[in-house]
Amino acid sequence: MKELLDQVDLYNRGSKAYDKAEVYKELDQKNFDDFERLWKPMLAKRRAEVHTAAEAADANVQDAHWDWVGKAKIAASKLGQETFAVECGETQGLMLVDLNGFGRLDAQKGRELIYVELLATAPWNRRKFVVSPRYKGVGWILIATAISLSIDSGFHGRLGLHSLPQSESWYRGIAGFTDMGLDASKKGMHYFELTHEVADSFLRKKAGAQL
Amino acid sequence: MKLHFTNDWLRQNIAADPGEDPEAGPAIDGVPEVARLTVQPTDNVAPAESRARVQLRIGLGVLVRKLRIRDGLSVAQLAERANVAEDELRQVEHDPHYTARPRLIHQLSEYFSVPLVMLSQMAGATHDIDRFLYNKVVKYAAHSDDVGTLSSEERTVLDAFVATLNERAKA
Repeated sequence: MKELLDQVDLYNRGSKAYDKAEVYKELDQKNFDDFERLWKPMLAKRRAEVHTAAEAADANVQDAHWDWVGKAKIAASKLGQETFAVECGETQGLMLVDLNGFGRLDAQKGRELIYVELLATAPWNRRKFVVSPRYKGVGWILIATAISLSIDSGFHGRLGLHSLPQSESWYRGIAGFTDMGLDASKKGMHYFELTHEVADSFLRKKAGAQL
Repeated sequence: MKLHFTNDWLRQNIAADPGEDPEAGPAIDGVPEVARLTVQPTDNVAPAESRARVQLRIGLGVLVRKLRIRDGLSVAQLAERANVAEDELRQVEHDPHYTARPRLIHQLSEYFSVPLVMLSQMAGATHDIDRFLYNKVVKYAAHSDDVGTLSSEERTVLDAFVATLNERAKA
């Protein structure tokens, strides 16, 4: 059942002020409707305009094939998968995580972690997608939520994920994830991991500081 | 679940971040190959046991023990009738960190007429775990006493649990 976790601040690029947004655990029909009615047409239209993976990356439309509704429904029936949504009026961001991930880094090899399977912000929040993106900070909220889940699950903030190319520098440089390089089993994407220590530093990070 | 960050933290970092929000997940058609370090294979990693799998195996041990007691069998007798190794059977009943071999699960499924798909999940032999099954198993195991005999009430609970496994396997 959908659960409101908390209200958070989301930066409105238009008004240059912070709007109140809600973070929910588990998606419901409202999120499915928003995805089908609002996200999907924008993604499909943009996807039709690009022809190569490089163009798709450049247009920030690499997630056009993600079936959020199908995946969320499967996740609701499975133990060990959770979905999250950020709402501010419409659904601004979505995340699917797996609680059965295991560390690959030597420092945490074999230890439980939260694996972020999918994480996306709404198309209208993407700078390369629209001329004037609406909100900024959805990704921060969702990654910090994943770390929170990891802490509450007893995994001490440990995370793992495969990054889309355009986000690699954020995970590596801003959030302090360890880039474990190209993963041949995942279409050449980079695999990243966050350790307990860096997760702790990330949540205490001062603005602009390097981890 | 609690969020372990504050709005102050969020505001400061969002304001200082000049870039795009991060995303994660599989790309459309792969990304252009570049010469970079490849991730080490994980085949030889011995992963830690997830708590859910341990709980399911505890449930499996309780179920096998109760079914055996219900039928008035010793471990040795059940091993002989189900054509499985006695020591493996003991480990299934008592060691939640033991991964039962597929053949043992198959033989127990046949002998007790409990769906293989349910026992396989309880043995931790599948990646996906049915949330409904998990909840039922944990509840069943938590309400079972580890005694050598079954009361009529325990027998009823056991029969109901097995019936639930059968129904779930058909769903």
